[in-house]
Amino acid sequence: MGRLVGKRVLVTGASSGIGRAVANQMAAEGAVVACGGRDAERVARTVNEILAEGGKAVAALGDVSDETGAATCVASAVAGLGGLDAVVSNAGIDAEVWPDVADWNIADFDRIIATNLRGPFLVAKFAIPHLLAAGGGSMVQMSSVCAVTVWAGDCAYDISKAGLNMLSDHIAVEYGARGIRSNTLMPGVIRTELHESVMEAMNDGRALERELLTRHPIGRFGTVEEVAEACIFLCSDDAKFMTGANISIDGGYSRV
Amino acid sequence: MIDEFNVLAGGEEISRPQQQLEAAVVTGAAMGIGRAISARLIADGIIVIALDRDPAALELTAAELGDSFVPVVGDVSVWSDHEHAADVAEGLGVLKYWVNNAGIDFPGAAHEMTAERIERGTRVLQFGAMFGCSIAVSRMTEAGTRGSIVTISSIQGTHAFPAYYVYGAAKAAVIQATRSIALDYAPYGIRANSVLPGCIETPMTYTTLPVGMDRDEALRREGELSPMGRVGQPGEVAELVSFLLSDKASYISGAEFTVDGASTTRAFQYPPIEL
Repeated sequence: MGRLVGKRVLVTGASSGIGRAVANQMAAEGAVVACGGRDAERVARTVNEILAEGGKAVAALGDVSDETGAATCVASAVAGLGGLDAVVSNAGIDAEVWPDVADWNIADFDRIIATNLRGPFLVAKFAIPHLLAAGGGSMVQMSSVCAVTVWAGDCAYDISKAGLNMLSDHIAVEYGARGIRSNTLMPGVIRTELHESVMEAMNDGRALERELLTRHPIGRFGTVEEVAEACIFLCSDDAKFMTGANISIDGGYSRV
Repeated sequence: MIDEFNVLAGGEEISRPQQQLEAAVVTGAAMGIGRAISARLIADGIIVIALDRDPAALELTAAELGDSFVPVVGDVSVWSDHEHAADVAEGLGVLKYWVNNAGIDFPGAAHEMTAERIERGTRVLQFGAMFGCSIAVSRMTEAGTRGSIVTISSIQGTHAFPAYYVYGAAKAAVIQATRSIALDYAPYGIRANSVLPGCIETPMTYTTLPVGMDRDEALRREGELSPMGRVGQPGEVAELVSFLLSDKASYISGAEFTVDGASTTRAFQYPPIEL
């Protein structure tokens, strides 16, 4: 028996990486999934993967950093699923150059905050009424170990994820009595397309990767499947007393 | 809707969903005739992808029409905005219906025009519907969908009105464009028809009424221009659009239908006959 049978879930950033795995694995647990993303073809890839496995999925297109994009994304999910029981705000981007604070490009800073922090806020703003209409639900904010540790040079990303944790806490506190739970997942380094592209773009990417590995006591990077598992747990009824929690899934990174 | 999903239950063999959601793109869906069409199609069980350039109006209409009304902010004079609406529709189900409804009031006689004004009016009123038709048939043929398209023209597409140079020309053009679609894509099971409303009470019509006159009085006078003695309501157009899109109209294509209270039957404004 699936752990999410009949649950209507929106996963943003479902085109690739963690979001794609979350969407697929949630569908395998019986959830009906709206796959969020900007690029119709890339989102269709995830939707088709789910359909091919006999699951049920629809696309929910829209750029969540933009007000109308976030509204379209949520409205598509609600229209396609007939309502919402859970939301995984996963869409995120990172910079490809990591200077110190004074050297940060303002447009890059704004772009990262817009997708990583404003986006989840907008998705929450538009999705919460639907979760309330369903009698409550679960939200998972895809944060990062970077919310609580500094990776020198990547201030916008770290700030966006720290802010995201507080957004999650606000939802937990403000809507707890009305049946909405909100938790964050804080992954360490996970092998994804985003991670690979950032490492590829850097001159010293591979050296950096070796250094990053030393920060994971468990001795390896994580997989998208492992993050998806935690996500399923948080959206399932097994986690019904968990809200306002920030959960590390980082191979011990945050303890070192 | 959730019942259609055949979700995995009890470890039984999973079956693919039997029935996919049907989606319609309706342009200019936030207000007036477009809004009435959206409401009617939603009542038919169709998901409406509501393309409109006014986010605030979309939000109000979404609140009223509920979850099957999916707002997409965009401008029909921009090709890629149609593409975006089509993407959203295809993401949700089968893009089976397309309603080219968006329009603007565009008064002015020929001598009052400039190249820029003619271009602007034509871009929305004519290109908007033509972009919509092109993208609709591309998507439908690619997916093998036997779709149906309705273009909202106007009685101004067949009859000249005073000082409506660009509007009338564009409304005539979209009738012909829609016929062309009907001809070319009939072998692929796609139908296309035009609807020609007369004077319908909409927010756009309000803007055309004489300034300073009481609105009800102005509408009453406007209505007297029609043999029925009244203006039409958006819902009266929506009923026809719903029918033309549906399989009930399976042999109707390349045709034009007026919804004008018999306005275009009359050449001269004689008084009503005595009974």
